[in-house]
Amino acid sequence: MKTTASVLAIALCLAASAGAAQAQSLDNSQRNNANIRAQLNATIEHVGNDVALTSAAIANSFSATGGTGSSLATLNNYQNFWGDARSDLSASISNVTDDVSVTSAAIANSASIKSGWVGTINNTQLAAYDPTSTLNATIQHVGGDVAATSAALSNSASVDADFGRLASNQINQAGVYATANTTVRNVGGSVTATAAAIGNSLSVTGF
Amino acid sequence: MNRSRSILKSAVLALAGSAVLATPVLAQSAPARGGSLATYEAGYANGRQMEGRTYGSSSRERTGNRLIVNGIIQSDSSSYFESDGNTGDQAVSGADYFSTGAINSSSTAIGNLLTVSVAGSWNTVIVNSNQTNTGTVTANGSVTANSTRGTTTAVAPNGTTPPR
Repeated sequence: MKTTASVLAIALCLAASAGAAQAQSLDNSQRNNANIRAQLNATIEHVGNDVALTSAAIANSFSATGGTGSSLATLNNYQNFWGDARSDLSASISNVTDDVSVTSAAIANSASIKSGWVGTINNTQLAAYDPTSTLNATIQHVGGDVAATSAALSNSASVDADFGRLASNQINQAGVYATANTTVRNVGGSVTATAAAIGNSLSVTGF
Repeated sequence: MNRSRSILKSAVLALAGSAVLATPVLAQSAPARGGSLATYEAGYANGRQMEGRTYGSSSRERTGNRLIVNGIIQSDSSSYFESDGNTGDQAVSGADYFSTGAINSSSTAIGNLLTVSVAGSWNTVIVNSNQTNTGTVTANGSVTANSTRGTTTAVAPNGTTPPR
């Protein structure tokens, strides 16, 4: 009985220590050699609420989230995409009482880091082939706002953390194509149409 | 005694004369220092006699932040933005605008984009970013709209077709 209690005490102690310890390193390595395809064809009529359509083709995606009090010594992210990412969205939308949102997105590599303290962040992203997004939409008789977006990104990284050092290497050798063809009629609110093609994007905020 | 006074007087006159003569010399040498040669003498990003000066913390702004991007201290430590949309990039935006419609249409093609935003205080932020884009980046957008209500607004980035 005494032996059992001792073993249990040791086990509890180890568990407590493990819980109190901070994660020291986070390594992510992603490689995708396949083609990624997303296609959405939609016909929508007579809706008494919002309408949101999304077609997204994403090859490599990495997201790390820690609280404001979190602490990490090193975070390494490596993403390599060697395929095609293609997103096609065709939509016909009519008679909607509220807002309408349609989005077509093709992304090769995406990384999102949100954390407290991180000593060193290393980010490497490579994209070889073409992310392509197309949006063809006809939207009419809408009571609210209309937003239509076609976005193609090769390498995208977002860092929101208190870091000591950030080293990022993004290489895009691919063609990046975003096309949006939007026809809008009879809209009560505002209309926003966006076509965005970005090779490499790094956004750093925080502190 | 008289001889000593004479020697002293001669020495004083000589010193005074040399001082008078030295002033024009200095005045003449000043423009030479202000010439382009001085920048080469000082070395890259180095001013004269900087070796003897203490380090000035002027790289920090009111917030006390210091932002270093790719080894270069930024004058604005609160934000940094760099966008490159050159080789092979193409952006085309076409839109029909009606006086009764509220339209925002944008078409953007960017090769490399780096954004750094520092909100706190007394931080030293070091960002080393290497972005290489050799691919064609193209964004095509077209909007046909009518019978919308509100104020007409059009947003077209550089290099795009201006709104009609």
